[in-house]
Amino acid sequence: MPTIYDLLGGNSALYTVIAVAVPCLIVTVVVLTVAGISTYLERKVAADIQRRIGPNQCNVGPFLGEFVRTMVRNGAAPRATGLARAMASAGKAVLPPLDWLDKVLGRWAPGLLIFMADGLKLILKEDIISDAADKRLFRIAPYIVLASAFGALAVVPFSDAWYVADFNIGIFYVAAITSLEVLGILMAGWASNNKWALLGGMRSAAQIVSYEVPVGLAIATAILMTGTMSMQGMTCEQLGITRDSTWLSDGWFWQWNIFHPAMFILAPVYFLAALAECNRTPFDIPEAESELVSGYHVEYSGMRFALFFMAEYAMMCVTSAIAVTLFLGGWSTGIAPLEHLGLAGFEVRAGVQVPVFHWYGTLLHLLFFAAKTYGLVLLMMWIRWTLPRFRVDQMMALCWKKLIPIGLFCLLAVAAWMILRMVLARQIGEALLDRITFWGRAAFACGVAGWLLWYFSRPLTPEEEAQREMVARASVESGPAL
Amino acid sequence: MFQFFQDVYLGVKTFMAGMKVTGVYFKNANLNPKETITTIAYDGTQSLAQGVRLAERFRGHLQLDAARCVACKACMKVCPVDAIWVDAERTEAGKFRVSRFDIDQLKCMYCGLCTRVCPTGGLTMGKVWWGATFHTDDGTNMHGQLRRLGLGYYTDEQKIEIERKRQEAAEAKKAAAAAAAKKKAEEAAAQAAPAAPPAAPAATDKKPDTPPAA
Amino acid sequence: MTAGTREEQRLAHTEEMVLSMGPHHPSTHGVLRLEVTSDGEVVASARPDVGYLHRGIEKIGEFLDYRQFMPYTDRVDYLCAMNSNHAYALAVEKLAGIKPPLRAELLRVLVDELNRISSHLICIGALAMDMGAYTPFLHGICHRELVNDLFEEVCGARLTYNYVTIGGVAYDIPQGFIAKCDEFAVYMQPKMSEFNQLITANSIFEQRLCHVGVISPEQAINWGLVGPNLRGSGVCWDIRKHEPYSVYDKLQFEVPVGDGGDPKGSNPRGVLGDSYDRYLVRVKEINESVKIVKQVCALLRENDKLPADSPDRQYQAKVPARLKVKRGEVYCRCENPRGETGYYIVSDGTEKPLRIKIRTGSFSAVNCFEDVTRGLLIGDVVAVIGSFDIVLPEVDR
Repeated sequence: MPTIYDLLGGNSALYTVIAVAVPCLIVTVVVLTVAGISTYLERKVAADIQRRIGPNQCNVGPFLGEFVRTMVRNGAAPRATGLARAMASAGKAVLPPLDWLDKVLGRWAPGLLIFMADGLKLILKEDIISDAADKRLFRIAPYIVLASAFGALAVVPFSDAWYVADFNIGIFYVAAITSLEVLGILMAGWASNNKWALLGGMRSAAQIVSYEVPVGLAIATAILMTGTMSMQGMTCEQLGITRDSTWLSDGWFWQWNIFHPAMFILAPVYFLAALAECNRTPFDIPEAESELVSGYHVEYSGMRFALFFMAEYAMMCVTSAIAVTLFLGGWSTGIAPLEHLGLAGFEVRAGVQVPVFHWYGTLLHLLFFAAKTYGLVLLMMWIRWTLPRFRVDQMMALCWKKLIPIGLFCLLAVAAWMILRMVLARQIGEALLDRITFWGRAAFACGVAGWLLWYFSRPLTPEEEAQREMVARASVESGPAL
Repeated sequence: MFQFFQDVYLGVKTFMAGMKVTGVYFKNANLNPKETITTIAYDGTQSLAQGVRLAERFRGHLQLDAARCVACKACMKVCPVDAIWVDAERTEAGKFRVSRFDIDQLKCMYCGLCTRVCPTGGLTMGKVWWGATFHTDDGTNMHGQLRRLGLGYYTDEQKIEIERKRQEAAEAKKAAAAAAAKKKAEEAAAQAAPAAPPAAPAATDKKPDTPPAA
Repeated sequence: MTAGTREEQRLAHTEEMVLSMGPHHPSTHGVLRLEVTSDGEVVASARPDVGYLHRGIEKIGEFLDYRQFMPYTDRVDYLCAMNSNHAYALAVEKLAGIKPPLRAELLRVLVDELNRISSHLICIGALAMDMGAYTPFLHGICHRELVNDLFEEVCGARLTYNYVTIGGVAYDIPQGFIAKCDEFAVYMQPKMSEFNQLITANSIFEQRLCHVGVISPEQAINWGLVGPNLRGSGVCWDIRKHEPYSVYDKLQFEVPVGDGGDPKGSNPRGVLGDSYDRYLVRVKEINESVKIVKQVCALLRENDKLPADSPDRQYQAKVPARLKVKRGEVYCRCENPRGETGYYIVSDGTEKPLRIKIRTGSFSAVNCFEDVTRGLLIGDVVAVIGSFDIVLPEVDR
């Protein structure tokens, strides 16, 4: 079968361009769509927590379905044009999946298409730039923020074979490029020619720059643990599958970084810092309160504002993806037999043995990665609707007085552990040490999972506890139901 | 140092407690939406069919059972915002009957005082609470819709005019009565003292013409 | 920092900026306008500018008779309309020498306390919302809807009730109402535990409110603060307990008082008189009101057993249709959720009052604003507004 290279007639420059552009486009479009749906999910999750319905216009069935049904009806009219008839037949084909989607989503269907309506509305809005604003900086700022958020996606490994690029300093590159966001925010605050925007922008910049430090500490610790800066390499390291692995020996979820005790403390630190990077509650001072106006993007309207907004949701997805790669094992499923089912063999890349999977294995990995990342995004939304927000000085105090000491401590702890490991390995041998750490981590992971299940199944209030006791006692006294 | 660990511990503990509450609500909303979700999706029709439950005593728009009204005007007098206007007329049997009953929906504050003082119970508050539409058929504003609901109204100017005419009529009647009484008194006085000399004209002081100020 | 050249000094000149917070306000407490003069983050002065909701209610009272003015008292503070109605009715009854029957008093207290619960839910919910937690406010609204349902059953309205009349109440309660009130009381207590778990105990929320807007007991008394604002500063003064009206002397309830700084109290990390204290007083008052509702329901059940024509079983005293009140003046006060609401009525012997003056708790709270917020950060100003539970209709009338 001719490869794309051959089809292009051996033009290596064109091939390189396409080989780079196509994955970038795919990733960007997918993440943008996911960011759009996230806006809807945020509102729906909020509504469920707050006992409301949430968005209920622009439903898939009633709204889009009505639109399509009207098209079908127009096509069936006696003097319909050819175009109308063509559109009607296209509509007839599209209707069943729409109705099926409506039925399957159930109470999550209403409001699903609002993000498209919002996007359309924002594009059609008037583009207002105030007279005294610095027009060039004002125009550039949203793009810098968006670029820095999306730039990090270039190294995120979505699956074992599907990624845009695999730098050997991947994670370092991510830390660097997300720092560029600060430039965009400062530009937006300054160029708006609005003292509240300026203050909001400076506050937000201070927040993001401060919280870069815990992020950096978490990254450094992860690098220490896995021994590589490449994101794909980290994932393979956490996967743990080598040529000597059997079906049940490697590839379990407790081998992920998070189940190492020091990393277990560091993961929430990283997650909090990630929340601060995205300007999410409890760190959304720039967005919500900042002198009671909208912070650095107060002067932005229409599509420019949409770009900031999208950058925030994209940043949520990006930081979740990085958290998943650093702590939660990236694209690995965490169930060893599943891994070995899809395993096709091993390959040498840059002097290291990397596992290679069949197409179904790769697909499974992609699904697990997406599920984990989106689970973290949903966790961010859950936190937003639970916690109040910090005051500015409290937020800075939290970073510098709590998170950074904890991060440094964990870094030292991991370094100490690595030295201890070397010493122990010389004493008792590598294999035995591996088995001890394997089972130790398994115990720890199962303990954590068990504790979480127990905690969330406990009664909510003392009254509920009393009620449960009463019910239990009543069923014991009256005997099993006949 | 202890403070540090205590702060971290409290932070984590209260965070988990809060997450549990919202988590439980989220779970209930999805597993048991009928009992958890307390809002109704507005279907734009402004009717009771959406599942709105109204209490029996709900105070909606005023309704009049004209057959029961005895035109006592008690509601008109008690209304704090003068939203009710009642015109009465006598029937052949000599009783009072209402000829005009205007309720100004723009003024009514739904306090229900008028329904409390109505002696026959003809004035009640119904279950209609809506009055907003997206557009009016006849191009007028809400007043057009009020007419369609069967509730006419006097404008404020008309009411003031009616009141003014009533007061004028009352004053004219009073003046006529006073004039008639005066005439009667004069006649009586004229009969008593026919030869009273006419009163001398009072001396009037005339101001000297002041020259205009220079 | 060395002082640079004259040019540098001129360029480094800083000014305080004047910001107008309101009357369109994200922290929705009504149309309050604050003229905030701040040096960047720190507030130098926050002067309140009220009057945007002035409707001339007191002046309107001079043209209506006593019965007609009752719906206007609803609108003086629509979040606790029953309490406002009650205060006005108390004043007129004192002036006219009318004594409402026992059942009417019981019903008045029942709706007062239910309204106290719903009003406090709004206040603590709004304070949480100002601090960034949107969920507790909506949960409070859900609970409050049940109270509104109860009120709709008893008088037909959900916000401005016009239920308390001069001499009693307008309608008797329908069948099954007491059972529903009891049900609500049973429903409410675990919901408050949940609420506290969600937001009251939250350490971020505590940090936002502790040590913010501290008012000492002497200052609170000097500034004329009343209600939970006064009790939050440690002064135990509740008109229901210390000058009981209606049937409050027959009921058992406690008066929660702020205890900031007390390591064994409920605000160990704060200081006496801070915003967290005032917030906690309101949370505890909801629990106390639930207790009172249960007691009143029991008393009403007893009252139900009386024969239908006994004087204690009536819900309205005999009041003439045109109520002429003898000459004189009266000041009568009542414990609203926002503090002392007093009606000062001057009567000239006709059926319309000569002057009605309404004293409200939020007005005193707005008055002391400038002193309390000096030196705070702007985020703290929002916390202080919320903890004072200021509603502008009460301030502006």
